[in-house]
Parts: sequence; C-alpha cells; structure tokens
Amino acid sequence: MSAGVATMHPVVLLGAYGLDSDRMPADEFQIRMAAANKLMDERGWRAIFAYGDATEHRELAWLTNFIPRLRWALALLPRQGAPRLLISMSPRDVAAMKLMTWIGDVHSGWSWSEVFDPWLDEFCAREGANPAPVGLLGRELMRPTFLETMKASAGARLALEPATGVLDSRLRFRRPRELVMLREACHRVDAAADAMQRAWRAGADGMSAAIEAERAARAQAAHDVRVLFSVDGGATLLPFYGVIADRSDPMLAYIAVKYMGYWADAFVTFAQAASPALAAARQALDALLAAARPGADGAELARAATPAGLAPHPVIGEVVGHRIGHSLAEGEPLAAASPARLEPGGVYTLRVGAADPAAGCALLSAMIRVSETGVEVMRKSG
Amino acid sequence: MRISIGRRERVAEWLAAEKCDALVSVSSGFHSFLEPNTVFVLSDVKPMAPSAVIVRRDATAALIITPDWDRRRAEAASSTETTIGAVDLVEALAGALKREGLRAERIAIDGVSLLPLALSERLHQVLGARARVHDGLIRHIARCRSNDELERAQKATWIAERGYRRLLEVARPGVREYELAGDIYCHMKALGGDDNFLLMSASQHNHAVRAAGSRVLEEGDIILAEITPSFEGQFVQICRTVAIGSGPPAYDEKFAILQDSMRRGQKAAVPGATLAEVTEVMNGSLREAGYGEYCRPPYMRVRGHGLGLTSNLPGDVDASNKTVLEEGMVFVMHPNQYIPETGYLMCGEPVVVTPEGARALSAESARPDRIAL
Repeated sequence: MSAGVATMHPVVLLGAYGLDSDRMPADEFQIRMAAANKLMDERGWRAIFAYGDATEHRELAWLTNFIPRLRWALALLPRQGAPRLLISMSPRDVAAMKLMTWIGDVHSGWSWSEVFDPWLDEFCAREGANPAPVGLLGRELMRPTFLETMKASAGARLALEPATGVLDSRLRFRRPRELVMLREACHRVDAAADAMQRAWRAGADGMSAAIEAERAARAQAAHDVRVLFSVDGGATLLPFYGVIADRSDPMLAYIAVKYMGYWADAFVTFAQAASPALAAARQALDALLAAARPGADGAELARAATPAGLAPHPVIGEVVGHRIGHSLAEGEPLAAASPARLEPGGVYTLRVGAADPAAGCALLSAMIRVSETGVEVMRKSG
Repeated sequence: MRISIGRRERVAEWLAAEKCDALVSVSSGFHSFLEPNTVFVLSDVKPMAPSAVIVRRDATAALIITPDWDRRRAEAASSTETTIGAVDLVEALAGALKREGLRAERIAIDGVSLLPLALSERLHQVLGARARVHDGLIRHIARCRSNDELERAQKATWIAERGYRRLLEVARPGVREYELAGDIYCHMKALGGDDNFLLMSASQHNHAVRAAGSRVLEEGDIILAEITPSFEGQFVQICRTVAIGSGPPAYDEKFAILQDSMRRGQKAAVPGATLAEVTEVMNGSLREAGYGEYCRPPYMRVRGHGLGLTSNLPGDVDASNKTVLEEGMVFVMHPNQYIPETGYLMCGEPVVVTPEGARALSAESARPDRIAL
C-alpha cells in the first residue's frame, strides 16, 4: 500500500534553501549526531554513510541539513574523526552547496577516487578493523553503478550493512526546531490554497489557479512546490503538462510545499454549486480529527474518515494519512488494514475523500501534531 | 505520426536484428534534464512514478503506469496500444510479460542503470539474469531530434526567451532572488513550460550561477540566469547575463569574448565534427584574450551539454568528448566563463546541428544586458 500522493518530480529543486543557523544552530545537529553516535555504538558500526538524492533524502537531511537539488549526495559520518560530504555537483558548485550544511569538508563526488578513496584509506588506518562495519543509510535509493563504485573502492575493508530505517525512532519524534519549520510550511500551504481559491473563484481555469498557488508559495521562499489539479469535476488530478485551459466545478487539488527542508501538504476542494460530496467530506474530516488521539490506530481512523455511503476517492484510496516531514510520506500508512498508529511526537497529514457518480467528488485534509496528551491541529482545509 | 511511434519502429528493427521478442523500458519517475526518460520517449507520457513500456517486435506497445489513478491522464496522452494503471509496477510488469508469453531470455531491458536499487533489484527478481540489459539503446535511437521534437524545442525556446523578458521587467533593487525566480518560473509555466531547470542568482562578483537564495538584489549586481524550460518533454536552455545599473567597467569588452567563442563554436559544430574539436575552437577565443588558464573548473564546467528528456546525446561539450555530431542533434552551447575583471558571465543558446553549423533556436542572442535605474 503506497502512503504518499504521487506528484511530478521537478528536474531541480529551484527554491531558496540553506542552513539557517539562527533556527537550526549547531547544537541541533550535535544532538542529532549524538543519536547517530549512540546507534553506532549499539550496532558496533565505525561509521554511518548516509545517501540521499533529490527525490528522497530524509536521513541525509536530518543528519546534515543537506538536500541535493539534483542527483545525489553521500555523507561519510565516522564515529571518530571528521565527517565529509560528497555531492554530485561540479567543483564549481561546491561553494554554494556548502551553504546547506554544517559539514565543512564538502567535495564534488565526481572526482570519486580523489575524495572518497583517500578518506577511506585514512578511516581504515585509524579504525584498524578489517573489515570495518559501516551502517549504510539510503542504500535502496542508490543506482546500481553507484553502489558498485563504492564497493570497488571499499574492497574487503568495509562491511556495509543496510541501515535504512534504523534512525526512525528518532526521526519520527519532531523536535521543537523542526516543529517551527513545519508550522512555517503549513502557513505556506494555506497561503497557496488561498491564492488558488481566489483565482478559481475569479474565473480562472484549473491550471491558472494552480499556478497562482505555486506563485504564492514561491513568493514566500518555498524550497519545492508540487501541485495536482482537476479539470474534470475532481474525478482525477493532473500534474502540469502543457497548457490546459479547462475549468470545472468543483475544483479539487493537492498542494505540497517544502520550506527549509520540511513538507506540508493539503487536499482542497472549491465549489460554486452545492456539493453533497464536499459536505460529506467536511463531516468526515471533523470526525477524523475527533477520532485522532495518541495511540489511535488505522482502523479507528479509517472508520471515522469514510464519508457516509460514498466511495473513497481513487487518489487517496484506503489511506487515511501518514507522517510527514523531510519526505512527503513517511512511515507506514494509516489505513484500516495497517498496524500503524498515531504516535506521540509525530506530525501527520490526514485526509478524507469521496468520488461518487451522484454526490460528486471531494478531497480535504489536515495536518496534526500528536503529543502524549492529545492532538494539535496545525492546519485544516475548509 | 507521433514521435514515440517512430522511435518504436526503430526499436522493432533493433529487436529483429538482435533476435529479441520485446524491449522493456523502465523509469522510476525521477526526471533529469541531462538524462533520457525512456518511458517518455516510447510512449509520449511523462510518468510521475515507476512505469514501464513493453515494445514488441511489431512496434506495438503497452504502457504500465503507476499510480493506478494516473491511468486516465496516461491513456489520453499515450501512443501505446494499451495503457495499464497499476499499484505496483513490478507485479504488473510480471503479469503482463506472463500474459503475453514473453520469456526473459528473449527480452531486452533499457533504463535499469537509472533506477534506484529498490526497484532494480525487484525487477531483477522478476526477470532473472536472463534478460539482456541494453541501457543506452533509447538514448542512441533518439539522439537526433525529429521535426516534431524540433518544433517542441523551438516552442520551449520561445518560452525561455519570454521568461528572460519577464526577468528584465521584474528585477529591481530590493527584490529577493527567490521572489524573482518564482515569478519568472510561474510566468513560463503559464506559457506551457511544464518543468524548468532554472538557476538564477546575483552578486557583485559572481563565481558561478546557483539556485536562487534569499539575497536582496542591489545596484551593481550582475544577475546570472540559466533558463531551461521544457515544453512537452523537450528541454532547451538559454544562458543570460544582466547588470543592475551600468555593470563593471570591462563588462562589454569581456562579454564580447564569450560572444566570439559562441560564434566560433556554432561555425565549428557541423556534422562529422567531434565535441572535443568544437570545445577546442570555443576555448580558442578565451585563450587569445589571455584567459586560457581559466578554461577549466572551477572557472567553468563545460562549454555546453545535451538536453533531456529524450536523448542527452551528444553529451557534454568538453575536450574529452569524442562524440561525432550528426545533423539534427540538439544541445545547448554555452561558453560561460569566470573572468577575473567581471566575475562569471553567461552566454548560451540551444542549437541544432545543420550542415552549415549549429543553428541557434533562440530569436535573440545573449548580450551584456543592463537594467537601467
């Protein structure tokens, strides 16, 4: 079961992004690296290698703040000694890339034998172990040739142990500074949704209204923006592709905005005429939020989220929600058949939807923060 | 005839010659403007998530797209005979191959090297080691643009030039880089630019172009813009330089060196020439002006490069690239260069290779522009 909503990945993450040392100071990353060090001690690893690319980079970003704008990056994080970050960019681009991370030793990974091999030689000499156990985060994201290149350099000197997910217990608990960024991202999603609604109610077609949403988010320093929109009454959602001058009532959309490395998202529905599906979706979203409490499982949430008598919308299917943060969809999806629960410390996006021949189509969503004692609604579609 | 059908006919010829029954072409849904997306090339559909095309020996084809709810969009755009919406690509592909009685040892695969391990290892489980990997086949077949693709490239160039005009209208002291980049990006999107490798930054003395940041534009800045829209999957790129105010003293003089390099490069880029030869000619302008030692990173990267999403051939305009140019190849030629007196300057156009040389697709060539205050 896929948790997230598919969107069109852009060829470059072109929005503003850097390490904001006021809001993400060095001690934040000292705390995160302490967690990584503890993990290394528990597992007997001498280092963690964290890989990420422009599409998925959750663990890499959490540890280093670095997010590849295109291609890949690999953080070499030894238990002892200085870290190094390799980026798939030209040496010309290294100075700009350094502004995105606390790691000072940043190199172009295109000169692999000049930047990985010497680091590895020094690491292996220092560690003495042969092979030295290393936790490998993001292995599943690597292209086959990348892994082969790394293995060729390592030879028998490293024992690379797939480690994706081992930091999950840390990543799922949103730290205070992360919550600040997530709230900022929520503000930008709401600003984008407002801009979309204004444009659509003023007569814009679906694509033009979607562009106004993106414009509003980018004007507020969005790092990345994804928009899907409907021109067929909401039966399905489209990415941008060429000029589509159609308009339908209602208009349904999915908007996701990344700000300083953290995503917020929203399903929205705008209707000029009365919409039974939208009315039912609003009731269902209220019921879903009422059912949301620490420990609530997917089955409970799914029961509350089902608009009475209406079929689920195909874009969300059976999924009620999931965690959100560095990735648009994190962790197991919340659904009737899933063991996932709302866990204290987590930030979730929850959604409801209906697609019915008679009642019409609607999609709505909210984002919540779950604490030990309850649930805070961070944003909600109207 | 739609572009992808013509490409599939070439694939069918190749399948017959190689005694294969089908080609399976796979995409993760990841897009790079420097790489081909083989599913797009063979179906006309730009996927959002993992997808595949099965091309048979009679050039008919099936598209498998995820997520399943995207089938309606894909079906409307696809040139394939069938379009299958799937929840899981690998399961759907295995089912389709089984239904068609296609045996792994008579199947060729393209695109595997571009997939993440999570997907490539699952594909390997389905197809085993018997399927023949032919990564780069589609890249080779699509290396020269068809007339329809050239029309798309021309439209993309038109969009890029309007994006630059918008930049000249909007850029002023006090505007933040990300505000400007967001505005011109959305402007081009409204004109049909469905994606854009847009780098745009400013400084009083640039060392390279980068993605827009939070910097506030000031008088005396030079704005660098690498404007790279895609129209219906065809990327092009223009590289532009504009000073806010009069610019540094040697602005026009130094920019003229880049313009000369561009002109020489266009003349040299004829069918039969290698990109290494073209690079040598382009670097000649810099050397003659006394900047030979700067014709290497970090003062520049390459003198141009291929453009996706079809084929990124001929590749980088670089001294090490021995690729021989063919008529109809499209790439961006850009003698972008760091010059100590002015900082980094950008000058580049999308070009198509013709017997007379590389013809720029842009209506106006790069020049040392200024925004009057």
